[in-house]
Amino acid sequence: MMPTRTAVRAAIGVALVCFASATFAHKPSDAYLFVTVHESSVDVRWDVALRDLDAAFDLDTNGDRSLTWGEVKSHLDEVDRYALSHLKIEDGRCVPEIRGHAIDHHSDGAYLVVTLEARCRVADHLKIDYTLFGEIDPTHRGIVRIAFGSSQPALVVLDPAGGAKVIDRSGRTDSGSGKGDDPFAGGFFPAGVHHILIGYDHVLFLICLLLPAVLVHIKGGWRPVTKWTEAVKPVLITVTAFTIAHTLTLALAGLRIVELSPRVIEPAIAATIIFTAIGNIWPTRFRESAAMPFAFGLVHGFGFADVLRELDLPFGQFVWALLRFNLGVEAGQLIIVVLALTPLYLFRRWRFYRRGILMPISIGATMVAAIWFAERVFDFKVLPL
Amino acid sequence: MSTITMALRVFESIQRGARASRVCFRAVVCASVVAHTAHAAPVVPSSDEEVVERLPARLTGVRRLIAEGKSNEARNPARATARARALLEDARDRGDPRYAGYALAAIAPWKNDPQAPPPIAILQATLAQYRHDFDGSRRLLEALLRRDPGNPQATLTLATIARVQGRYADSDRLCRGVAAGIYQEACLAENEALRGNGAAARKALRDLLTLPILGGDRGMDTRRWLTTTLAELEERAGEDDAADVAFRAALGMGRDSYLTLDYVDFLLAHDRMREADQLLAKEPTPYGDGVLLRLAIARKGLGASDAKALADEMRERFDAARERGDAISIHGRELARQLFALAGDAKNAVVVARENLRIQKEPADFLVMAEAARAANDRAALREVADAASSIGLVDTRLSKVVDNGSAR
Repeated sequence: MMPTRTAVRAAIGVALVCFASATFAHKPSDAYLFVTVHESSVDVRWDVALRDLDAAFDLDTNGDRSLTWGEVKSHLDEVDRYALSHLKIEDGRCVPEIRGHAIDHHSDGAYLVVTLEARCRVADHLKIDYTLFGEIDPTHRGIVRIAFGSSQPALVVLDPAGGAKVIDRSGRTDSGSGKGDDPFAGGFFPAGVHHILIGYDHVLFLICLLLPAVLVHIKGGWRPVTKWTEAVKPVLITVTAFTIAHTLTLALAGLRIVELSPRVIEPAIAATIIFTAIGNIWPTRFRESAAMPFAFGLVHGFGFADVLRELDLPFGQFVWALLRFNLGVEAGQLIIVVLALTPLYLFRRWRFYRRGILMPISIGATMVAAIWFAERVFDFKVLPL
Repeated sequence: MSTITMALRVFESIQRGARASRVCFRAVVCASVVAHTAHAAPVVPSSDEEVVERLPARLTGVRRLIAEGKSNEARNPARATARARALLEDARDRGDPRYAGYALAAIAPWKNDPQAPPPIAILQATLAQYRHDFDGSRRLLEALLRRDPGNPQATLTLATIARVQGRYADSDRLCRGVAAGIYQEACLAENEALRGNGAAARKALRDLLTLPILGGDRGMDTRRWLTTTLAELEERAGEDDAADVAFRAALGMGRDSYLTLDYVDFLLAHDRMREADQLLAKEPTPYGDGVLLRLAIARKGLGASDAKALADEMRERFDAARERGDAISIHGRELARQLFALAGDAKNAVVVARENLRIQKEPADFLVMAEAARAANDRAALREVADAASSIGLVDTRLSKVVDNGSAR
C-alpha cells in the first residue's frame, strides 16, 4: 500500500462525508409571516431572523458580534427595500407599505418584526410570490399563518424557489396552473362510501340508532317486533331524518355558507353517540320521534364536510362533487344498516336480546364515546381509533 | 412542497389515529397559533445602545457569495467549489444548517445540470446527504459515475450512503471499487466492524493508524476520524474501557463536534452525567440542537435547576422543525430521543424512531428505537428492532443488552 499525498487529502474528504449524516443541529433559516386578509386590506407581520439579515447585510457594523438596535436601525432602508422586493402579493396588485419595525424572539433567537399593510380588495384566496433569501440560502422557508377575516389561521410553508402560490382559506396551496394532488382521484362516490365506512364514530352512532329498531317499547318493557316490516318503518323514518339533516349541513358547510370549527363538531359527534346510547338504556319519549336523528344528523353532516372542504373546487364542479360524495355516504350508510339490522333482526326473539345485546353494546358505546368526547375536547389520545 | 406535506402527514398519522388525525392536527396547529400570539409581543427597543442579538462568529464568505452571485464569478467552478466546501465545513463544525444552505447557494448555477463538473456534482450529493435525502444523493452520484467511472470520492460517498441505509454488501462492493489504500481499507473495516467482526476491523484500523503518512499535523484529521471509528467499534463490542481510551485519544487530536457528541452519548449511556455536562459546556454557543438535547438530558440526570428550562427550549425547537415539515426526516433520531428521555412520551418516541429507521439505519438509529421501546414497555417493538438489525447484519452488544433487558421485564 503506497498512500500518496492526494490519498491523504481524499481521506480527509472522506472523513467529512462519513460524518456528514450524523449530526444536525440548529434550525435552518425560517421567516414567519402572519397574514390577515381583511375586506379591503391585507396585513402582514413578517419576522425575519437577525442572523439571516446580518449574513446578507452585515448589520453588525463594528464587528463585535453584539448587535445593537442602533446598528439594526441604520440598515433598515436597505433591509426594507430588499424585503419588499421579495414579497409580491396578488401579482403586485396589492402593494405592501411598511408600518413599523420591532424585535421579537423565536426558538432560535431574535427576529426583526416588519409590519406591513397593503390596501387592496382580495377574494377568498391570496396569491403570494415569496422569494426571500432565495439567492443566499435555498433552504430558507417562509412559514405563513394566514387568516381570512376572523377565520382560523392556516399554516403554509413557502419555498423561495417554489414560485407564486395561491393560498385559500383552509391553507391549501395551488401554483395557479392546474390542480395538484387530488385525494379524490378515485372518484367522489367511492370517497363518500369509504369515508363513512372508516368513520368509526359514524358507524357506532348508526349501530346505536338501530339497536332498538327490532323491539317495540310497550308499557313496562320491550317486546320483539313480530314481522320485519314492523322494524323497517322506524328504521326508515330514523335513517331518512338523519340523512336529510346531514345532507343539509354537508351542503351548507361544503359551500361554506356555514362554517363550524372541528373543535366543536368532533366532540359534538361523540356527544350524539352518548345521547343515543343512553336513550337505549333509559328510553325516553323522544325515541319514537324523528327529531333526534334529525338534530344529530345536522351535527354529523359537518363532520362529513370536513373531508370535502379540503378540496378547493370551482363552484359548478363543487355542487356535482358534493352530490356524488353524499350519494357515496348514503350508499355506505345503507351497507351499515343492512349489515347491522340483519343479525339484530334474527336475534330479536332471543330472551336476552335486551340484556345480552342492547344493554352491553349501548353501555360500551357510551363509554367509548365519552372517551372520544374527552379526547377531542382536551386534545389527547387514549383509544387507538 | 410535496415532501413537506408528506412529512406533515407522517407526523400527523403518528400523532393520531387515521381519521381523528386531521382534526386533531388542526387543533394542534391552531393551539400553537394561539400560544404564539400570546407570547409574541414585539417590542421596539428603547435605546439604540440596546443589544438585541448575540451573533455567532463572523460569517465568512456569505457576503462575497452574494456579491459574486451577481457577477460572472458565480459560474467559475473552482471558486464555487472552494466556497461551498468551506461553508459546508462551517455547517458541520458549528452544527448549523444555515451554512449548508449558503453552500447550496454557492453551487446553485449548476442546479439540475446533468453536466455539472464532478466536484460540483459531489457537493450537490453531499449536501443532499446532509439533508438526509439519501436517495437523492445516491441518484446524483450514480449519474456522476456513469459520466466519470471510478471517481473515488463519488464511490466512497456512495459506500457511505449504502452503509447508512444498512446495505452493507453494496457498501463493501463500492469500497472495493476504490483504489487500494487507506480509504479502501478503512471503508471495508467500518463495514466489518458493523457486522461484528471486531478483531479484523480493530487490526485494520490500528495498522492504518501507524502509517507514517498519517503522522504529524497533516494527518491529524484522518487519524482522528480513524480513532473515532475505532472507539465506536469498541463501544459496540461492549469493550467500554477500550472505547473510553480511544475516544479520549481522538479528542486529543482537535475539536470535532461529531466526535464530542459521540463521546457524550457514550458518557450518558454510562451515567457519567457530570463529565458529559462539562464536555458539552465547552461547545460554541449558541448551542446546536444536538448539543442542547444532550445537555438537557445530562442536566436532568444531575437534577440541575435549569433542566426543565433546557427541556422546554428543546421542545420549542422541535415544534419549529415540525412547522417547517422536516421534524422526522431530518431530526428523527433526536426527536425520538427527546420524546422518551425528556418529554416522557415513550409511545410516540417508538413511532418516530420507527419512521426514522426507514430513512437511516446507523447503529444509533436502532439503539434509540430499542431504548424508546424499552421505556414504553413495548415488547413487540423490541422484537421488531432486533429483527430489523439482524436483517441487515448489524451486530451491536448495546442493542442486544437493551432488547434482552427490556424483554425480560
